[in-house]
Amino acid sequence: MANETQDTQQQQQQRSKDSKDPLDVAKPEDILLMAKWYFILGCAFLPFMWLVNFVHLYKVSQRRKHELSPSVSTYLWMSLGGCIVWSIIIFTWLGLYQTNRTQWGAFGDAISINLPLGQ
Amino acid sequence: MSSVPCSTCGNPALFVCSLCPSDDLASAAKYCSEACQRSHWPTHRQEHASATAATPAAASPSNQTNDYDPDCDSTALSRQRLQQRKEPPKQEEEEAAIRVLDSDTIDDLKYYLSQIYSIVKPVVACIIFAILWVKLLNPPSQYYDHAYTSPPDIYALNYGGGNVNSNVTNTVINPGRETTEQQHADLLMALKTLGSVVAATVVIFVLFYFNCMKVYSVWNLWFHYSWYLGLFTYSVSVSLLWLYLVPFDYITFFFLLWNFVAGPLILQQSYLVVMSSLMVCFIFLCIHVDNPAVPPITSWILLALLAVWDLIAVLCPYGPLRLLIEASQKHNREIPAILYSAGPTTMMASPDPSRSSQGKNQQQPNNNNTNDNDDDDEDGNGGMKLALSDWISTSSVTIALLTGLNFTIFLLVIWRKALPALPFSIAFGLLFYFSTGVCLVPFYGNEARAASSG
Repeated sequence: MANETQDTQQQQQQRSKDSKDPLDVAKPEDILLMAKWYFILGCAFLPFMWLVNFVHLYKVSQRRKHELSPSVSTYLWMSLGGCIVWSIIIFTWLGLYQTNRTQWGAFGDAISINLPLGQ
Repeated sequence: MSSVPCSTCGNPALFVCSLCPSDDLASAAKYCSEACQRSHWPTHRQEHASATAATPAAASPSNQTNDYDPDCDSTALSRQRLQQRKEPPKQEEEEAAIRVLDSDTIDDLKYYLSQIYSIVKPVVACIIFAILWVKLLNPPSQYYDHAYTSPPDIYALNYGGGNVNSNVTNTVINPGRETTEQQHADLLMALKTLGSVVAATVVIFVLFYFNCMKVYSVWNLWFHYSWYLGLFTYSVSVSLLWLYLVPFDYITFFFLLWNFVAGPLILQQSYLVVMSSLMVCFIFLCIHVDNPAVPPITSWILLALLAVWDLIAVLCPYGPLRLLIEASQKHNREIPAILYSAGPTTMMASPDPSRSSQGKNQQQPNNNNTNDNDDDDEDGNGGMKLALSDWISTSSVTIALLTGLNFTIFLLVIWRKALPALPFSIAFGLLFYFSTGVCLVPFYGNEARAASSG
């Protein structure tokens, strides 16, 4: 088992020297910082940020699993979860709005940006 | 007879590089012929990096080579002949104004050519985006099923909600845009836009010059940038929504806008593209949103002003952009790449002394201001000719744009100075636009008439 992990570490170091992806050569602390910052930024009503965080860093976190600290994965999975939750909220709201807009009377008009004629 | 090998091919060497210090012959570069010296120059010039010679130093068949072949008179004679043969062509070449044949200029050309490809890609993408927005927002009038009410006025920013009882669903100011006051207002807007661009450039330069870049830090830039992006996206989206009769609420709209803007500014490249296209569209919208047949005088004026400003800023000795470049070269400070992504303020291409990838970012904020306003005037010509003339003008404008860009880059290599990127593209675009307008459209008119009558 120890040999295997050593081998994979060597392979990884080799790969990080060969690959052009800047994420591969970045230091583990930097990647952790990136994941953390994107996560915190995403808490400001920015689920898209969370999505970007996940997509951007997921492969790297899988490839360099041994070097990176485990909290990177935690952040990534939390971002993904948060993004899904937000998406559910948004779609629910949109569905409600689109179907019930006309029935809500003045309130429905007040929150609308534009009113299509004849509807 | 000791024969010293040529540094390139290994044949007996007869000449020495005249830039190499003459007291250290052992390490000097030696050549058997001028051809070998030329081919060795790209690597050898790094040893003379402090020298600003762009031409390979004349191979000097000087006294030094006598040391290597002291015994051979025949070779001395042949050396004489070689020497004579070599002098005149060298002088001719040096006198030639075009130094394109020099190997390092060729290297530069190759380098810039390879960068052209990486630059052209986002430019084309931006053009495509801009055309897309414009086409979406300005369909031919027969598709307007609610053409009798005026589209929303971006300046009024006064939408929906309020006047349910009034006959006009969206409050509008001056739909016609034909009164002179309104035209004055349009012109004023163009001037204001230009003024803001100028001011931003000057501010950036001042900050850079006094080494206050920390002040204009990433945060500020991000904020400024996202404000622009947000504004443009807002106006474009609202128009889109109105046009396609899609109801939308403020909450979701602003939420999505906030996400779109504040989030992935990290992915700067693609965002620059989108933002530039949006900005083009915004300019177009501000100026003639209602009446496609009205010629957008103000957009022409804006284009002209931008081109003039670009020329002034880059070429005149006190132009801010030129001073910026000079300051960066003098202090040997790199202009941060973020500066070059500061949207509409940087419209120039400059030779890249450090050959970093900054060159890519520099040219993006781009030429795209130029000519997507142009192809829309063709829209008013009627539905039948629309598709064909549209495509022709669009493609010719695209070609013109790219031609202008390539031309600018080519000139860059030759002149080795900071150059404004806009004027050539604008010039080419206008040329193509007017020429297609003059030559092709009447042609189509005839064809259409023939088709409909025949």
